[in-house]
Amino acid sequence: MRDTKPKTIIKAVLIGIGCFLGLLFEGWWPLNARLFGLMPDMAICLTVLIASRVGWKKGCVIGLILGLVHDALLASTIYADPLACMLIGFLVGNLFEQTKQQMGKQMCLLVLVAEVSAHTIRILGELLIQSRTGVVFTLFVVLPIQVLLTLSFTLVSLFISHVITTKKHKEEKRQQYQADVAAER
Amino acid sequence: MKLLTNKFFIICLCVALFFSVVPTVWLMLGRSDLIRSTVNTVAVPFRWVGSKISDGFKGFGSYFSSMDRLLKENEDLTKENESLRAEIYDLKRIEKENDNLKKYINLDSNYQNNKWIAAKVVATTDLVWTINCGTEAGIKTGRPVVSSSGAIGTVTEAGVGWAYVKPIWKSGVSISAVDVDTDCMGEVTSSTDLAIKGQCRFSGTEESAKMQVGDIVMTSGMGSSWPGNVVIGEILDVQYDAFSRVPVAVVQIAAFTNNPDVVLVLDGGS
Repeated sequence: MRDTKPKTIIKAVLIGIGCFLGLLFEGWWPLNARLFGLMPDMAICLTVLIASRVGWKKGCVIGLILGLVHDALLASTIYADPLACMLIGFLVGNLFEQTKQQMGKQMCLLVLVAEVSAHTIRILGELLIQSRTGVVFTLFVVLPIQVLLTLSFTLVSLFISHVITTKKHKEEKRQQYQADVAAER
Repeated sequence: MKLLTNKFFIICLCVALFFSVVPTVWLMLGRSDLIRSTVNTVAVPFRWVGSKISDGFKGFGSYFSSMDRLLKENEDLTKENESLRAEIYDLKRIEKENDNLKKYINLDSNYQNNKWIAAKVVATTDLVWTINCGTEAGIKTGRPVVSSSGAIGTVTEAGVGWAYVKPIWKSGVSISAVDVDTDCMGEVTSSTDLAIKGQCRFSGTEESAKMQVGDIVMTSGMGSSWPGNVVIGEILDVQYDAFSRVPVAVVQIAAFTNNPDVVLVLDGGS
């Protein structure tokens, strides 16, 4: 127990730094290389990725922190991400605990619903300070592009994460099997 | 949905609502945000490393992609250099004459005593650009920011080691401008539907003004913050307002297309 605690702390710190770099990545990407000047929402992507592994309780807390830091870094006028990401962490983590599988139709659908809701919360906040033309444009052009970008980025990340986890799991099983065989001999 | 009655979830929801509402209200009241300030100061070293890495990649890529273009450009520039050298002698004479006349009529530019602070763009998001200089370098809120290609925007927030620059093509920004080809005055305002392409509207000009596609729009220098003769962009399209018949032009912002790495912030002075 004493050995695992420092490891857990180091792992948490590394995940924290990784998440922070992930959020900063959104600003590093060259302006000319963006689709309509937009980038996938990294806070949502990271929340989905982490909550699908750690469950809804940790997912809620991580989503909240990621949303807060994301809004602070990107100079948002309205702090809507803490609420949006916390709800995403809850939904994805909850589904993960119920189904115990990371990929599947349910997960894809849920991620889509969660992202549409999160972006709507965020953009509705921004709409309070925009003109009528701005509202229509944001709802019908910016929102779909942003959701599609985030969704595709999240699903690709989830798929890569799933492949890595499965490979690791198989390797562990193989090693366990070999150890069992050796013990039997 | 038993989880919705879960105590832990309710606490998380309340905390999330608190962190959504309180900073928003705080910002709307015009107060500086402590969370934003702290997070951005923590991000300074990470952003520095990130910008160095991205610079490396950019340099590596451009070495291979733009070699032919650079050779041709070099040849053209050599020719241009020869012709410009001849003009320098004339200009030196005019400069001296200009200085004498300035002294004679006691003319002084509004911004002659101010200095420009160079800063590096370390992050660009859909709302603001982040630069690596802040209050420690004397950057203040509301100061104009320009690049080699033209006007970029104004400083909206500054902290230690960072400042946010809101680009002129984002909503809520307007600058007094002039079409240098027709001399018609007007105002460059941002619009949500054009912001995505890095464009603005140039309106409020006289009805008789004959703006044309390809005209260059510059800052007029009227107003308190922007100096004059800073390039804003080029007119892409001219339309007429249905009611007032005033021409309204769409301007492509030069700084958006060139995506500069280094910018200059006008120091407000003491």
